[in-house]
Amino acid sequence: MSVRIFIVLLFFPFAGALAQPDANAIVREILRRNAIVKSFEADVTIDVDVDFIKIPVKQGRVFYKAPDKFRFRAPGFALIPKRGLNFSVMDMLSGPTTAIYAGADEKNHILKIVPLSEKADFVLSTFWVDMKNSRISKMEVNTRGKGNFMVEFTYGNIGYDLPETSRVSFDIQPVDIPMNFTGSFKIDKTKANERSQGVVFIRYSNYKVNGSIPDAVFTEE
Amino acid sequence: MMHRLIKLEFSKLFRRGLTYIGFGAILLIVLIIHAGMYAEGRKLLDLLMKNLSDVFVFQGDLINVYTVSYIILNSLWIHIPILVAIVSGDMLSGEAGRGTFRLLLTRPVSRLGLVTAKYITAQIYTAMLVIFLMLLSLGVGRIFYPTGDMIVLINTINIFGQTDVLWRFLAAFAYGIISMWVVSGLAFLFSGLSSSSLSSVLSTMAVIIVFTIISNFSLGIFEVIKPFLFTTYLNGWMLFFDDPVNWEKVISYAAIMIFHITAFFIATLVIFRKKDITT
Repeated sequence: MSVRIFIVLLFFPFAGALAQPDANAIVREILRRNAIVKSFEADVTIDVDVDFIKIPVKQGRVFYKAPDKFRFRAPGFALIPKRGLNFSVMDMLSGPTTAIYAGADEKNHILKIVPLSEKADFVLSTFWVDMKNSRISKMEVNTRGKGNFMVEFTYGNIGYDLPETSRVSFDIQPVDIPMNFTGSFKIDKTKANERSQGVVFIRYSNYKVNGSIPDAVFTEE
Repeated sequence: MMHRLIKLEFSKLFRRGLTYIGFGAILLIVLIIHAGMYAEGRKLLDLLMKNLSDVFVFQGDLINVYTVSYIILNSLWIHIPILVAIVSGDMLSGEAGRGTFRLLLTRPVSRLGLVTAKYITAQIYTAMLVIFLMLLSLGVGRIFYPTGDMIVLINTINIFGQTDVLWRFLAAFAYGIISMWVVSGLAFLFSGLSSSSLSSVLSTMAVIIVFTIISNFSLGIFEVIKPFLFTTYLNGWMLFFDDPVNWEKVISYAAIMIFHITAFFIATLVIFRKKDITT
């Protein structure tokens, strides 16, 4: 009897490991589902919340064409987050990386993505991937020298893995403006070199997926 | 009667070359800043947005007529008082210096009427100068640049949508007129005290420079004095480019300045009524 218990205990961890989902397969599935989207356009609302920037909520239309053409059209000036847009996430996953299964929570697989290239602009990222739909719910990225950022996605019912909302939170260094020029910008010197947190909330609507988008849209002034 | 006196003062004012110095200087400075911003404005903005470019992609252009006009306002606001003082400081002392007062006062004009007409003329000229600056910076700027969202740095980086900008400019210029009326009133007061235009202009500038230096110091003793110096309130036009606008502050600043404008006028009147006219 005690020998049986010993054998079970000895192999239990390995049994668990064998039952663990394949992280690389999950990543491949995410990429496969995203590859269905060749192009899209959508109305976008961008709300920037950074403690030293006040900018009105911007509404515009976003255009994307695989693999990397992107355009945001809006009247006036807009700040668009560099990271956390759906296609930039896919860029990150489709580069040379290795995926490690790091566990799961109630709804998500948790994957660690490690870049294999020295040129990659991130050191490590953690992805929370919805078990049901193989969609990214959340991701946290440690970049090379440019702080960390986190993106949370929610999805609607459009039939594609395109988000309805994205919430991008990131580190940002307060501005060191050598300027007495356009006003009085008072910087707290004790915080001058500290990074503070910023959040951008993006809401997408009126998606038009895999329609024809002329290339001129991406090149026009 | 007052209407005719003001008209007469205006015709005298615009016959003097001195009157056009202000307009000429503003025209020159605005054109230089416009040309400079047209050539180098983007570099300036890139410098400003350098840290943000790690995180954001910039869509659209912030170098536009509103941003440039704001920069012009900021750069020029220190110099406008000099231009205002040149003319207002000459209103009474100029007559004394030229020896035309005795002749003027032999006419059936009361001293009260004469001082009031001159004061109103000086203030209208001051308003014209500020409106000229507004038309030039916004109007000429429109030839060089499109309209668009405006960036302003007051405590934070404020980016205003273009539909939210024009009223701020109009309000800022209206406030600017009131603040320059204070300077004009002070120059007018010194003009009543002196019979030399140069000394009244220099006295005005000396007071403004000293008060401005004290207003900009953040030391304990100066903090106590600051609220009593009119220079503390002169750049209140910037309040309209904060978000949200601190209306309570705007109203209290404007009220203090209106008090100064009135006080300077009354002081000039009292001095001039008792003054011996010897020239």
